[in-house]
Amino acid sequence: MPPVRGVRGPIGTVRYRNPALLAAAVAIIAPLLAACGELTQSTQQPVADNARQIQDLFMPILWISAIIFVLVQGALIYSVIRYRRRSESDPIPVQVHGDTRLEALWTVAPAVIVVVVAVMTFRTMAVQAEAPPPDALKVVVEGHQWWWKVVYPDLGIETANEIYVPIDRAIDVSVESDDVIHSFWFPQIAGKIDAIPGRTNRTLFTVEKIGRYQGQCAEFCGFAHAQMKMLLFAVTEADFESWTAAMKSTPAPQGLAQQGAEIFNTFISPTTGRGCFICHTVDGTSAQGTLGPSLTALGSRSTLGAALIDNTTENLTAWIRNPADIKPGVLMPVVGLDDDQIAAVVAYLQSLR
Amino acid sequence: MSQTFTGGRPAPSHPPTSLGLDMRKVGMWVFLGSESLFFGTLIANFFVHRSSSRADYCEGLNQGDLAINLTAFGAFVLLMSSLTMVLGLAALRDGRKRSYRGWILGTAGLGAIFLGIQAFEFTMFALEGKGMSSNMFGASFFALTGFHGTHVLIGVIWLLSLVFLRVGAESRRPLEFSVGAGSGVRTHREPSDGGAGISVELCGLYWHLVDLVWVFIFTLIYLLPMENPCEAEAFESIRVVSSVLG
Amino acid sequence: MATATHPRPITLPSSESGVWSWITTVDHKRIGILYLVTAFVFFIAAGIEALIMRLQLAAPNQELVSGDMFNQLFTMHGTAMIFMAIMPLNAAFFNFLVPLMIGARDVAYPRLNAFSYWLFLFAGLFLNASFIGGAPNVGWFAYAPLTEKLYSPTTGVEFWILGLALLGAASIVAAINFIVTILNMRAPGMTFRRLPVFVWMTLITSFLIVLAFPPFTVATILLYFDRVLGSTFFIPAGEAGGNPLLWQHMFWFMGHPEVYILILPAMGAVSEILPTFSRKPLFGYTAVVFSGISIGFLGFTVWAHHMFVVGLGTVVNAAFSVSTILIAIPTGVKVLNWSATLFRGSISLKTPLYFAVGFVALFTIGGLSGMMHASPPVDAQQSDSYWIVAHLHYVLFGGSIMGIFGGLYYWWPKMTGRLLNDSIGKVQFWLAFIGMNVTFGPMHILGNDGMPRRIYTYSSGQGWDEWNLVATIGSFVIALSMLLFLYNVWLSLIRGEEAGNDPWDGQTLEWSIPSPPPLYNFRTIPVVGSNRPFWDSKYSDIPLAEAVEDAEEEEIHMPPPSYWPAVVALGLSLAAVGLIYSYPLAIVSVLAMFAGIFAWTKESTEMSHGETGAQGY
Repeated sequence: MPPVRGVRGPIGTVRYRNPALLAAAVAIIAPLLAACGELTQSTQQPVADNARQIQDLFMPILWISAIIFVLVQGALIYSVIRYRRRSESDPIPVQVHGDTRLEALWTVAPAVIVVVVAVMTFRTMAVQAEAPPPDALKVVVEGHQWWWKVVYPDLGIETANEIYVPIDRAIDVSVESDDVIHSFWFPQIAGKIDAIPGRTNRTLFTVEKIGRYQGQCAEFCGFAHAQMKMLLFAVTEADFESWTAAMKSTPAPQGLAQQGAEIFNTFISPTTGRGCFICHTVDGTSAQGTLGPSLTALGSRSTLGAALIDNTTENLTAWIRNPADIKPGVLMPVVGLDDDQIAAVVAYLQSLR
Repeated sequence: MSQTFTGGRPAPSHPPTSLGLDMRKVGMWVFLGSESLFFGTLIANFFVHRSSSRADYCEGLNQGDLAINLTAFGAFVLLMSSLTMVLGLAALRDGRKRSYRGWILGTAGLGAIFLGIQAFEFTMFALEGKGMSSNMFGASFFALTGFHGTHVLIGVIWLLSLVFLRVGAESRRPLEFSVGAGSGVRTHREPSDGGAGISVELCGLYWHLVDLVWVFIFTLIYLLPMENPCEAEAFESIRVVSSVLG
Repeated sequence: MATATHPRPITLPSSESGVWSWITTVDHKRIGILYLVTAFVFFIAAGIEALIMRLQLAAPNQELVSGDMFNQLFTMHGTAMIFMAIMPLNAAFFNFLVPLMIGARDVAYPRLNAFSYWLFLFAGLFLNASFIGGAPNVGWFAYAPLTEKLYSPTTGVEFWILGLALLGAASIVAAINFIVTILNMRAPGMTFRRLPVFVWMTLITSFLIVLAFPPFTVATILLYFDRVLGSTFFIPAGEAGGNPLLWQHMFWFMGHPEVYILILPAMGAVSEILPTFSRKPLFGYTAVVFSGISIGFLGFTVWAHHMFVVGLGTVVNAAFSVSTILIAIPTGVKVLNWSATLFRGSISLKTPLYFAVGFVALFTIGGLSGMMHASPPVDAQQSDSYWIVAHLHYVLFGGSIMGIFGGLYYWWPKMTGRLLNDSIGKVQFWLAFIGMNVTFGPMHILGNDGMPRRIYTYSSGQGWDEWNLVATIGSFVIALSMLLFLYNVWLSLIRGEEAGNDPWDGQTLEWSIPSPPPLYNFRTIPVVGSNRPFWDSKYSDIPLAEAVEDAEEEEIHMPPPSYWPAVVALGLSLAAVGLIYSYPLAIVSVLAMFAGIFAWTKESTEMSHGETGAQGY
């Protein structure tokens, strides 16, 4: 394992395990003590209305299931123990072929449960089908193999893999795809919605708690599907304002960073025929490639490689040297820069904040 | 080389088959049910795609390119072949062997004419560069009519083999015999067609389904009007043939 | 030809032995055994694939296999378990048992039956051979456009398409055969209301196969056109006018009935085992049969519940949610009828019963978790997470595989004339039962903790590490259970206890004849007077066959062996190889196949001239 694959820092949510879940899961082994405190993707710890509504629907259905589970297993265990054949000379039992009333009863009973579950489901669906409020923040998320393009159409901002949203404000996400099918999923925030090429799907949520949340592509999308993650930062309105302002200003690079900018914007490796600007965009510069993620304000992002590794000098250097070493299958090739060039480009990218 | 065992005893009363229907006919019906879903899916696929747009839509095949007169003639030929098929089977049942051969060969011939028309149509489209990859109407058209044509081709081979390779045709096995291995019952009561009819009848069932499917295809692809963004521009050659025919 | 009227112990029901006799056999019992052995080998292979995946996921950031290899493994694991293990294992039981249970001497089309087997074998080998050049790595569901040439340029996808087309053809042919056998070859008195439940479930399953596979075959062919002929059926609108969701509709129109194709036979086996070991009739025979039929019907109306998160809209999701939850009703009826069968019985605690009760217990869990994601909002969290992996394995391992093992222990003596060791069987059951719960139970928690499916690696510290390790340990307990089963089989074959005709005090016709049955099954075709004909002949006064006074003994004619089915199947399979590697080979193979078909038909004609009972097809 390359040393660069650092684990991101803790964000400090206390884990909470639902006891009913454990019961339903029939795992015989006692729950092991979890070394918790890292980023969670637990659907059981919702921080937004959408995920909370689902959780509030899931729990009663789980309890209904738990009751049925206990009844059925109880009946099975009781029958097998109580009516086991004690010796081969046991008499032949009464030959009961059925009982119409009983069978009618247990046709109706599941039907009643079905109606209850359906009604609860429809209520949640009706709530979640409501149109977004007019002040909702529009975000377009586009899946790519294996990263996420994030666009704020009303703010004119494009970034990648890290989404900033204000808390307590409806977020209206349009989910699209550029290549194969992906699925946009922040388990703590909202149910997943597929990103399908040629379609635009919508999801709506309001984050209620400040924090950094992790999401992940949930539809198998090829080689690096496992490493197609993303982060969502829920911040105050004020912090969100300052973030948008920062995203729109491109600082002029100085010193080493300026050398890096030159390499980034013009250099094509004679050996590989590749260059940074061919695929990447940095707003306010001549680099306007669209094959790879936008690198605007890369210096202010906390992670690299679709929320895979921390955005440190070491990691960024290693990434540019050979991305596939860190993220096997990644479509970004080795550009063919020498160490000095890489150092300059790293300095440039880190200056973008 | 049959495997024969002595000492079997018959059951007192046993119908030839549980449903009273010939074993192979029941199987053929089930198979045709399966085939119906196959074509149903291809037809559904055509409807999903027939007006999907893409940049070069009009450069590919579209409804305006289809030569309705020519294919209407093809449809007529195929429907007539169903009639000759029925007449052939009837002739066989009456023991008119020569007449039977004539009708079956006629059926195969009509099928071949249909295939010829389709081959001509496909060739014209291909020469114009309107193939599988040019647009969605064309792709789903070729997938649907191509598979139908393949079925017709198999039917023609089957018909010819009935006559020339005498597949099943000289079978003297009574209908009831086909249950023999299952029930141990043999009856020597032979139906009037001497058992030969069943092979022809099976082929006929298949042939009728293939014809019936074409009725659907012809109606849905050729006749059902669709919004067509492209000008109707049938090929001159097809126009000429079409005008001659009708 | 041998004329063994009394079967020898141990040797399988046959008139000859040797490899050639197995290649040319058209005997439904031998074909059943061929299915069983072949499918079990594929089952073990797919199981090993699962173990490698579990090892890779045992801890975070492991690099036992590459991401691409992992993707190949889960694709092949799913494809093989469904199409090459569980379906043919079920077909093994259909083959061996259906004629015995309805009082027939063979299936409707013995040679077509052999053809189905050979095609299945060659298709299975063909698909597994793809590992040499890179197996399919797109998932068993093969969602377009990932499967298009642009995103998956290797031949793995072609192997998947052609392999499944072949397996689908083999399944359809076999299903038609069973439908006709059951509809048309029942013994006198074996009315539909007296048909054993296992036979009913076979009939329903066969209809599902016949109706569900053609649309899927169309989908695979269209995908093949996309890849080879440059059409754009599943490449989306912006670029090409195709529709990737169409693939999902076509796939799940087969994919969901497929679940019932996998589980209904196990339900049938359990419905035979529970009454026998409780010494009671099945509680509510009619309700159980009608539940099976309604599950079959409803199975075709629920496919889009696999697509709740693709954005079909609230109304569509709600409609499919209702049809899906409705399936809980017939399923619930079945579970309760099984429980009631045990109630006040005289339950013999033998291995088959263990597996049957295990089936009911575990399948109930799978059913309940299924009811949860029948709710679209809940599914928005659970879809494509490990919750689904847990659910489907409770249904397919806890359900199908448990039912299949119950059936194996139950009918093994009928197949071989020898019993499997009961004590080893019970240990094996507990290992499988505990192992599967330890493996798949924690996956519910992993899914709720947001672990997506089909990821080959994960970072530490998300709360997934421990449960993944537990699941991996569980998977090796299952593996141990399978090894123990193989040991039990070996033990039974070399020195198993002789079973006799009726080791379990059975209720249905197959127990009335020797174990293993003679080639012709029934010397006298039984006359059936109840839905438990053999039980009633033992415990009431309803005889199995009416005495036919002074009936002349007659000869029993069985169909002769034939190698043409294998030739035709080989030709068809080589054509698939040819489509990938060399078109001339494909053409030659298709011609060989047609030659085989003609030889086949001519063979039938010659036979029917003589005094044989050879089947036409």
